[in-house]
Amino acid sequence: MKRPGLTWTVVITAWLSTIVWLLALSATARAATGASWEYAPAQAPPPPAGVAPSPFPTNVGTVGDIEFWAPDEGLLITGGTNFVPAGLYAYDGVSWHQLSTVCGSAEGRIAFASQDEWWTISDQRPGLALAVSGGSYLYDAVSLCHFVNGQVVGSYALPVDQTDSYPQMDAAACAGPDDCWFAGGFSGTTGGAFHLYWNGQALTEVDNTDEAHAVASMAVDGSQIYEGVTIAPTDVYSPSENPNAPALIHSIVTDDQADPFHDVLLADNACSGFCPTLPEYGTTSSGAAVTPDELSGFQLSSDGGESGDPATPAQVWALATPATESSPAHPLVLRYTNSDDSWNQIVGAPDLSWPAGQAPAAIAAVPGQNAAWVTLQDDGSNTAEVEQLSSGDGGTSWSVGSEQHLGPDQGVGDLGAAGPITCPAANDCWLATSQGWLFHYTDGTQLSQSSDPVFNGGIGVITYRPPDDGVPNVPGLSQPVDDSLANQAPPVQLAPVPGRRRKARPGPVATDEKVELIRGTDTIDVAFKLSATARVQLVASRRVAVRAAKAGKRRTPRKSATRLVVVARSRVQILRKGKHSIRLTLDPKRWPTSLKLNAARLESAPKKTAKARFR
Amino acid sequence: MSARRYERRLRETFSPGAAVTLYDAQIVLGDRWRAAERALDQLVLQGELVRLAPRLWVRLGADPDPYKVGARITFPYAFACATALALHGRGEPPDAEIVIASPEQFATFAHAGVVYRHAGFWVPDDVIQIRARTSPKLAAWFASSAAGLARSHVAVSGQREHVWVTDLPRTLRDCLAEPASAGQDERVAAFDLGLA
Repeated sequence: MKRPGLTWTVVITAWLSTIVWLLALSATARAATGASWEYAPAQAPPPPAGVAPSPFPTNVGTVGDIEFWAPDEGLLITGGTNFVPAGLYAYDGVSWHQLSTVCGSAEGRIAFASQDEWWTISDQRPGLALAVSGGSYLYDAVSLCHFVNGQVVGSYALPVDQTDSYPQMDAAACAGPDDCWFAGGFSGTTGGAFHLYWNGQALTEVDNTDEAHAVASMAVDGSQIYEGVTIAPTDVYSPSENPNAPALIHSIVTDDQADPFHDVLLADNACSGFCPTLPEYGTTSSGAAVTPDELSGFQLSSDGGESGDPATPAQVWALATPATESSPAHPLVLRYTNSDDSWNQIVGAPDLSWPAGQAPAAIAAVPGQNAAWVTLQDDGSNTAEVEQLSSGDGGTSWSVGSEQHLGPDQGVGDLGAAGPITCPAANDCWLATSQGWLFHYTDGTQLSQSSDPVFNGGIGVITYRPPDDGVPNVPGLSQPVDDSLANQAPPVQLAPVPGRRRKARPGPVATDEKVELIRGTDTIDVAFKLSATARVQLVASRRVAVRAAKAGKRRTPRKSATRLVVVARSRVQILRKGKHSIRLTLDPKRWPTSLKLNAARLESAPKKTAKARFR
Repeated sequence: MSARRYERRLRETFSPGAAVTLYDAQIVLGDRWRAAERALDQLVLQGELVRLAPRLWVRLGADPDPYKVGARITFPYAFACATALALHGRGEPPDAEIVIASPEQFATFAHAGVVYRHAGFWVPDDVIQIRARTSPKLAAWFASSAAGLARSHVAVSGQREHVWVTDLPRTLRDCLAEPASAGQDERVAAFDLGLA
């Protein structure tokens, strides 16, 4: 008897085998092809209230820097677009999303001090600039923000366009929470380096007294901070410097407070015999030697320190490009490895260079590999172009990989020239184009979402930047509170002097008196107001002439002797505080010449027995 | 960027029948809302878009997916009553009406034979997110509905489109409270008994 269930089992088993085989084949193919660049744009900022989220990604504007603490915890700083506000974006292993709408900059830098603590070189808040001589560049990358646990805990800036203003800063690095450096250079004829140092408690400006060359970039190798400097034609050399071979890279030794900027001798320790220090600048097409000031400052990239794992063999890459388009210099790439404590010149040697028309722009060391990614700039190109420098024999010989065009290769078109690039791990790199679109070099490994709320969006969007000294404090239009006596000594308390004290005299108890004659009668009405309970009587008097007999008794007789005679009086009343009136009927034949309202204040309210007399 | 480039980019991004919010257009253009709204209104004048709600447009040329339109009118939202019943696979969709519960009210409007109506059944704890294509009955209805909707609408819904919908107990309570939104009373009663 046929068993249909068995037939179905065979069919299902065959299908499952086929699926498993196809999956295995797919994985094999993936491993064979290795990692590749993928289009990985950022999420749009959160929608406003009442608006549905959008499935569309966005470009984040010009990105100043991309830095990673771990492959699933990264940050980028952007100058924003008309739609995306300037600020920071965070990567949590799954996607890039908005982290901060403050402290952004298209020229900004990020320096991790620890997992949840970092610094940014940011644009200054637009404020009052006296006699602005230029454009908005006055505000670009001239202030600092200090982020701790998802908050901006410090903002540092000075008013722009002043003699003591911060210049634009191009480099930032931290060897720990209490050892961060920020640097740049003064523009114009003065030139020179500018450094700010954070010791964990305060930010101070540090001068490089020996060498005054602008700082182009910084990198951390384990706990050691390196800085690359730019040699400008207008720079002033100290007596100890050799203008033909100035130190292009410094190490910062924080403990050496007298001179923390130490020259790094770029020596190839593997070289035997007479070996000049690096770099070899080469010669121009006419055979003349290239001078140091015809190169830009060294862009540094390290694969050690950013991940916080000092056990990783560190390598530091340094890239210098021609200072100007007309410069006869060639691009130079140096590489330092701490395993043999030696520098090597990778590019610039006669056998390895880029073709004419191509200029490297940025470099990113690949952790754990003898490799680095280099971004290229083609004149007028709107495509991000990258190449990989790698060595298959442990660093003895080097080759340049095939040029890749990010955007067209992914089928999304030209999305801007290459911008910042960084590699948090092997086969894991990120690149931002000039328009702010992101590309991810990955081997397909799916990272789990970071559990840190600072990176996975758990803390929301940071919108507050504390005040700093960058915006002058202008008093408001309203009068300030008069605190001129706030700091004076308290008044001296004099001891009371014994003696008779004059008792304060109370004012009149009856006021606002008004007298009216009631029409058609001989009665007057006197209205008044009492300020307290009082005994009141209205007295009407008439002035009359005295008799002569009495007048003659005086030694000095008056010219006209008169006296007041009471012609009418009201009864005595006790009245409460308030308005009252008293009427008094008069005799027309003895009409008074004066009225007097006698009101005597009562110290205490009368007793109940007198209540009946109250009106 | 010029206005013509903005219009061209919107045309390239949104295919006929697509629901476009002002926020979508802002993202695509990377510009402020005034510029995005100006470009959208220009396409309305050219007869390529129609404005359905203050912040919602639809590209003409094809009938839109009603769930995509309903999901983009406001936020937060949840399909409710008969619309939710159909998404739960518990009933036949009503005749071309999409009922949407949300804290923000909107005026009822109709497009392509479908009426979009606000219902005040908003209880944020009683909404869930499901895929719009979970109901085979719904797909069959859209394929054969007298509303004139083509099968392609359901196919568009199935492109990993998730929508918010009131959960089943809340849906039944809402339908009992307002039977007119649930279609036939007998069906609601039957579901109520079935659950009990």
